[in-house]
Amino acid sequence: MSYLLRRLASSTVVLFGVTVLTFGLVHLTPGDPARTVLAERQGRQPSEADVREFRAEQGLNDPVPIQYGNWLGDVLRGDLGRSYYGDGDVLELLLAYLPNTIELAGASILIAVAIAIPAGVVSAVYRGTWIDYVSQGTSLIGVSMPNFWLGYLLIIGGALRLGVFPVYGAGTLAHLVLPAITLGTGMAAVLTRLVRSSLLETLEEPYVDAARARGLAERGVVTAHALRTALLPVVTMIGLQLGYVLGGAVVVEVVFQRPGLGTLLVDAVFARDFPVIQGVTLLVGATFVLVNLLTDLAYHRLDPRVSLGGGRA
Amino acid sequence: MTDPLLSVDDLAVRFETGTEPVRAVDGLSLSVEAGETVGLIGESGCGKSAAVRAIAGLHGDTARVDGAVTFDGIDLRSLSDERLRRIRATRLSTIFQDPAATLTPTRSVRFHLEEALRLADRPDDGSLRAALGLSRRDWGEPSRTRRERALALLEQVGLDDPDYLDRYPHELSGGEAQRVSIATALASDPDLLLADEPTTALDATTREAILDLLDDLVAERDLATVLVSHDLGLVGERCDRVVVAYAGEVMEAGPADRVLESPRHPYTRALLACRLEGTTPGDRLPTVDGTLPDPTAETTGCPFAARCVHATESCRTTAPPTVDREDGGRVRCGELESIAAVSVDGGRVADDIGSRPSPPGSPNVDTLGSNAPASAASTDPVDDPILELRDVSKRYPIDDSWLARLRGRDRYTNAVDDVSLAVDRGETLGIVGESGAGKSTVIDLVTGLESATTGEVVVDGETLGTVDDRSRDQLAAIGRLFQHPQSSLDPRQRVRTAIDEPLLEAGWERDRRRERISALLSLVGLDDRHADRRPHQLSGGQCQRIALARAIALEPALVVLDEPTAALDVSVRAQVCNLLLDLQAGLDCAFVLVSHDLGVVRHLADRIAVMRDGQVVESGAAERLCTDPATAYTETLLSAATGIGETEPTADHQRPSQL
Repeated sequence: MSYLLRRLASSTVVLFGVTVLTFGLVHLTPGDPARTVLAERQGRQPSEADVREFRAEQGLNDPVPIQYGNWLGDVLRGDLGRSYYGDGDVLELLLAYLPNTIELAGASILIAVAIAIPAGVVSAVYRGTWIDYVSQGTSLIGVSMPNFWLGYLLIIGGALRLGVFPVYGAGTLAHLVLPAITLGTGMAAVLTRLVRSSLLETLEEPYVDAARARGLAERGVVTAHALRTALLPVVTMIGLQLGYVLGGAVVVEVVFQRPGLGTLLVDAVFARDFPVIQGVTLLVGATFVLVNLLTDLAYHRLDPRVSLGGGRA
Repeated sequence: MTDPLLSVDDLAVRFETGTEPVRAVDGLSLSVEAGETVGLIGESGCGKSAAVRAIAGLHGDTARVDGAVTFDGIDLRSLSDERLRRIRATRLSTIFQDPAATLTPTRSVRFHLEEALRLADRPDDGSLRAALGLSRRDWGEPSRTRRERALALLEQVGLDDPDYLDRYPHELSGGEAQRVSIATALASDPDLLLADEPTTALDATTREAILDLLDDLVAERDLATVLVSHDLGLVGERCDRVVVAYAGEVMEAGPADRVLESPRHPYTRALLACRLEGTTPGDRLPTVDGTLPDPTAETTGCPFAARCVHATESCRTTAPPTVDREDGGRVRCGELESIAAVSVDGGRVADDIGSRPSPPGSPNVDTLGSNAPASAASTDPVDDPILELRDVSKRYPIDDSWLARLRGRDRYTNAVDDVSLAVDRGETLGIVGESGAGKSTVIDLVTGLESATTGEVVVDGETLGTVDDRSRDQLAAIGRLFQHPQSSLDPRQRVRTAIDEPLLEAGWERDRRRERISALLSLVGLDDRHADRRPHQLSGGQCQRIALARAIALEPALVVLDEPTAALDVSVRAQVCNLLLDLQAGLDCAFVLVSHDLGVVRHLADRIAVMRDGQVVESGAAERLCTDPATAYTETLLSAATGIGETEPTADHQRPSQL
């Protein structure tokens, strides 16, 4: 219980840091939101008066720390602000785009795990054979391949040539397939190598020999004894990979023109839409922190040696 | 005579490495009758474990096995994987050296036991269904019956509390873990038990308890056992027959009592002579000098020739003959006639046959320009002690969360509870006790790795805090030797760098450091060739020497030795004991020696303090304490120690939960 409180406290600090950094970076980048936004709205160069009015209205004349303080105060009251464009409430925008990204992230993690665990296990059990080399070689290619490139390959192959899957958009399961494969395979490659090396290490442990000595067949030795311990670091890795998924989602969503947090963020950055940038960052950061907390809790369930109480065991 | 239960003929195990094959076992033969206990004895690296694994078919893919293994008329080597698994699941069990590491960390005790029971009932056919069945609870009997059978197994190994079923391996002590391993081995009611160093990783009282347990089980079940050990004396008396192996070959075999009483082979004699029993405390021990032959090199002649005092030219060039002992055993030696029949008393060889003449009694310390204080042997212990602990306690919080503290519910455990000790200059204080008695905490306090909760640690008249508070001189005054020689050295550091570190910290000039490193290496019986090696290129004994060289680099007035011999073979243990005695004589430093091996402590210490549950229960002159212990607890420790007193009911029987 106190572990949970401590973790939540430290997570809050992390989130605070993330928002400060983003806020600072956004304000350091060249480009004036007032002009950009007004030019977009009015379809022409805005007048100086309009610009001054917009700045005053949005509080952009205040020093950056004050602006941040105002924003933070609003957030603590549950108000993420409004988009500079039209009337979009940031929270509503986020909630509208979030499901698509969750769908994509979830599907790609599923694909990654579904590929990585069998491939890693087979690779470790048949170490040094052609099966191992094929699996290793494939995962090397997977790690090295940029996902936007894979995305375009899949669009050319799967969508344009075969015509099985839609090129872009979102909404149906068919829309999800290509983006999820794009994002999932890169992660699968990293995880496969981790599963392999972790299992190889566990297979050297004395308790694996002891299980063999009890007359357990190799399959049982791997599934009931070695794999369980070997997957512990993999679980942590999946949690950390979420950062990769969210980062990758930005690229993949743009490539497939899929509405989601990624496309929302990219559009907001180009448009200097500060409230939206801040909102997306906060949400992504919070998700990342939460998932890692859940990972650690899961770790505790999986590995009886891990004590969450802290201090001396 | 009927056929033996197990017969191993001309067994050879070779490991294919990148370059040349390593010969781990080289023509080993032995046989075990039903219900018989056979000891397989030899130093680390003699191929004992490799032989046991090959017998059970547990050698990995990298090993090439030749020779015949016949178990109850079945040729095990020609069996299919599935039939061999069936044998292992139902008739032939194996237990291993490191009990904590042989249980799967993510599985409960119950899982291990039930798995063993299930495999004994229905051997694994290797199908995917069987593998997945483990998680589907496809056991073929109700959960309650399984639980009861698992409990019954635990009771047989002396773990009566049903709580043990739900524990995980890390929640067990070494002794408890080994009991659980034995329980899984018993699940199939086997005919043969292969026990590979089952007690080496355990402390003395636990070791004795586990061996007693094995004895009982063997007697009850008419179980044949192969008991592997490096300690002939320890295991010999519990065996019907012993087989002494060296470099993967059998050197001598015969009835255990006969071999212990009149060992023929120089190697057997040397192994027996290394033991501590019957020695006079403080005397130099006979050792087996030299190291095992290079297992990649092709040997002609006797493998032991290089270390044998009786070796002749023909020993080195021609394979030694196998000579029958009159008691039915056999010896593999060509020089038996020239080796004088030596009277043997109580299992100990009376002269130093089998060991080289001892190296020069005391190392040449003059080369160091010793600045150690003059001998203070005449000083009264209380007058001017080098180390004094005054009412020292160390408490650790059990639950240190701030919530617990807020609730005022902070609970503490007393690792060290009001301990007062004094160590005179140049003397050795031994601290003994079982695992968890607080010995290690005491030396952590002395070396400043922990801070005392209450009380004072006084070294050379000054009250000291933790390492952070100590001055350079205060730090240099205490050297420390850690328990595991291999893991106390940085694996990436060369020996030279490791020894250099304290000198560098003390601000020595470069040239002076280099000279000093050479001098230290020769002091611990090594030379400059070793300076550029890394820990993995050294044996356990050599690592311990390096660690010792490092501990004494700054000529401390006090050296703290944490289990200096726990991880070592008997032969290496004798070498390290000798080295410690030499160093103390040469450097005139005081030792605090922590060990659970009372035999070693009695041999080296002037005074002994016995600790239990964080308190000193008894202390006094070593001789007095060992001959006339004042407390029952000390008596228990004494009876468990090798070679001191007779084996009485051990502590383990009285306190099963404290294993």
